[in-house]
Amino acid sequence: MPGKNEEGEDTVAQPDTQPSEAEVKPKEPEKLQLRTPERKEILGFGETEEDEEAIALAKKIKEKEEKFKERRYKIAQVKENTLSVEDAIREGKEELVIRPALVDSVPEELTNHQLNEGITRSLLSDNPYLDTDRVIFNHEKREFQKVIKNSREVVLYEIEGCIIHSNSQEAEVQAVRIKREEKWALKLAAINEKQKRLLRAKVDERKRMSRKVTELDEIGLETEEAGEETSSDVGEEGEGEEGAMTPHIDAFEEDIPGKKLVNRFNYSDRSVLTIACITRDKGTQTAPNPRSHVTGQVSQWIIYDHYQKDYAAIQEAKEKERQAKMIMAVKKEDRTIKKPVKTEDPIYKRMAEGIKILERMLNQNTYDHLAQDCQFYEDPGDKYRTEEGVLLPLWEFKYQPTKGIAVTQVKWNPAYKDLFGVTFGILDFAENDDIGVLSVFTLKNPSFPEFVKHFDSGALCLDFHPRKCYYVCVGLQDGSVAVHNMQTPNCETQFRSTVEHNHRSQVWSVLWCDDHRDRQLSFFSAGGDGRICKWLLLQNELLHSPIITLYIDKHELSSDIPHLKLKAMPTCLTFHPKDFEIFMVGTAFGTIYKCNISYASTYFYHMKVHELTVYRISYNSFIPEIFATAGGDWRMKIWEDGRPEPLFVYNLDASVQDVEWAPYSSTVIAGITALGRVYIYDLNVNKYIAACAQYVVCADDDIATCLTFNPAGHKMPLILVGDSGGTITTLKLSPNLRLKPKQPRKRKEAAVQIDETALEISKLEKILYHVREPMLRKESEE
Amino acid sequence: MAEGEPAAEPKKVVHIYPLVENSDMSEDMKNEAIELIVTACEKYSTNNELAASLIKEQLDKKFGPSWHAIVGEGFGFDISYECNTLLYLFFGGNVGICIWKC
Repeated sequence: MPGKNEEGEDTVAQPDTQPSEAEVKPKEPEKLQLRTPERKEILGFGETEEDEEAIALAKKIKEKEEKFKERRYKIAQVKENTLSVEDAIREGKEELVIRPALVDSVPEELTNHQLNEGITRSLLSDNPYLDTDRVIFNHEKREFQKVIKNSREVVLYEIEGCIIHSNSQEAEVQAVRIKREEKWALKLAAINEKQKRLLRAKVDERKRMSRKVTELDEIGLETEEAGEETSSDVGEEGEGEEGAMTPHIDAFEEDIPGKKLVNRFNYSDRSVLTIACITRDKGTQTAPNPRSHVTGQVSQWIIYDHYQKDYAAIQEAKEKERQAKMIMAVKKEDRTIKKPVKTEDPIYKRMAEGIKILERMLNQNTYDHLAQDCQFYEDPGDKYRTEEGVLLPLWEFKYQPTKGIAVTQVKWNPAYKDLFGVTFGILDFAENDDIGVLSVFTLKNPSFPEFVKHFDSGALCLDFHPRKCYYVCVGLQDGSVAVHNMQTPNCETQFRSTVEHNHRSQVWSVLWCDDHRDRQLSFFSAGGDGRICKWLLLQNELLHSPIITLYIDKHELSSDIPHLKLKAMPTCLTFHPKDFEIFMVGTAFGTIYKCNISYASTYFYHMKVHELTVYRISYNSFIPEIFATAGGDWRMKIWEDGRPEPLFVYNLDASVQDVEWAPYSSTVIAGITALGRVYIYDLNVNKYIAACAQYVVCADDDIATCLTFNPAGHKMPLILVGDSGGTITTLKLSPNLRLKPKQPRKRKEAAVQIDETALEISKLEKILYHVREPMLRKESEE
Repeated sequence: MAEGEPAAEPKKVVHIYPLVENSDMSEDMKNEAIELIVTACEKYSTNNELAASLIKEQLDKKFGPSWHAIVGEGFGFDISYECNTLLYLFFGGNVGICIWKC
């Protein structure tokens, strides 16, 4: 039961607050009066008769209550006796509860009437279990004192209501305040309007306007202060509203009724919004150019010094150069002096021999593969080519000082089959012609000539003596001829023609004459002045005897020129292979002359064979009536002596520089064009198509100048080709180019071998017969 | 050194050829620049300012801007230049010329 005590308090408190809310008097002191008998006051708004009745009723109730209290107290006493102290503590009554004496523990005896008496119960607003007579021991006074406080209420939650009773005093106060506020609002609106008007005024009125504004502001401040005062009078509730009113605009806006207010915190107007483009900047920077730093100073002295230094350096360089030149010159002199001294030395001679052997050995090693090829290699491809052959290039002969100087003539030595002589000279006569070289090479030493002889004029032709093969005669560009003896150590010049007997022009051709009537050796020379001379080698001089002077035939010239004998310009000279007295001369005008050494003033005949220069005449080695000519008019022709028409004409598409019949075959003929192409025809195989047409000169700007067969024939099937670059190329003929004539079957059966020469002759004769036939027919028809 | 004595005599000779003191230009560019400088200096042999402006303008035209040129008988310089564009030479025996690009 005491446990319910507290709960009862709460229930009491609640009805207290509820009426306070209704009357808007939450913290009234009358609260206490609710429980007191002065309830009249609460009810006694109008003191009516009903009230008196109610009081009376209340008195009755109170009496009953008191009775009930007494009884309850007794019950409480009984119960408390039974309760332990711990229980009391647990129930929160430990503190100041004065327990009744345990003496009175005997329960009150009740009569049946009493027990049966009905007790009416009613709910009351006050707490019936509230301790009214609580005491506290005062240690100061040493006595118990009654606790005056008779309510143990606790405020748990409090809220102010928003409703005021319209008749209440508070409501009246509020009404007064609202009226005042309305007045302020009107005033502020007026001020704002004025301000706006002023803002619209012109610029020159600004000052005045600003003054007004300040005045107005002052007014505003005053009003505000007044407002604050009043609000403080009115109470706390008014302050919040006033605070919101202080900004002028707010007040203005609030004043206009029906206007839709804008949420200023989260406001957006949709129609204005567009997607805002986000712009970005982006940049790059290139690496700066490399820089460097320099300092310097310029003054007259500095400039002068620098110039001096530079000048000195230049002078020094010049001096060095001069010294170097001098040294070079000294060295050259030394060489020129030393050389002859040494060569004359017998010790040197022996050493030279040794060195020569060494050189040969080295060359043998170096060029062994070429030597092998020369001797043994036969092109296997010829088995499959029936009418064609090839030329296999072997050695290349070069002599360093004659590099770029044209090879004018190449001739094999008649006795030594590996030896050949070469003359070098400049063919372009516009140039300086003071360089001429005669050199004799051997196949055994391709790197350096065996004999070398330098001339002060270009060498144009040479010839070895057929029997005394160590004699070489050379024709020079200045018109002189010279004879060298290779048996002497330096291939010394034994004879040289003197100025009074010299040709007046270049000596184009020299040939040894095998005239056994002469006791002395003799040779012929053909010069550009039209003369053919014979030279006799006497004991210590060269005897000159003119043979014939060739003139151009009158008919070849126009009739306008009267009785002027123009000399022909011989370019080549050839002896008849059988008759040493007969020789043939080709000229630069394209004519050939057949002459006899015995008749100086006249010749057998002359014949126009080419449109341009006749470069060479070559007799067939088997049938001397047949000869070939090479002309500058791109043609190579084969003639028969005494026949005005050529037997064969070949157009070789370039100036034909040289032509020669093969020494081993009656039908093989080789020609070379300026472009460096060798044409070899075997008439027995094909009269019209070359068996071989091959380029043999390497350099583009070099032209081929001469060609010659090795006289050894089948033993050494080689040809030599010279070019204007000073190079002599050795070429080996493939088997198809040197076919031997077949033995007729019948003879074979008889086992009688016919002489090869006869076979060769018959072979050519057979061909000639076919060529001659139509010509004869023509003649007969005529 | 017998040559030393005659060499002493021509010391009085005034050298007027262009003497390149310092250059890191390519050979072609250098030759062109020297030619240009020589013509300019010969044209305005008495007025270095005009010579310098002529050199500068022509260099700008030929090799692109921006060139700098100094022409004078006495000066000092401390410059930073783009690599391969410096030419510092003497000319006429008494004029120093420095051109560079930067």
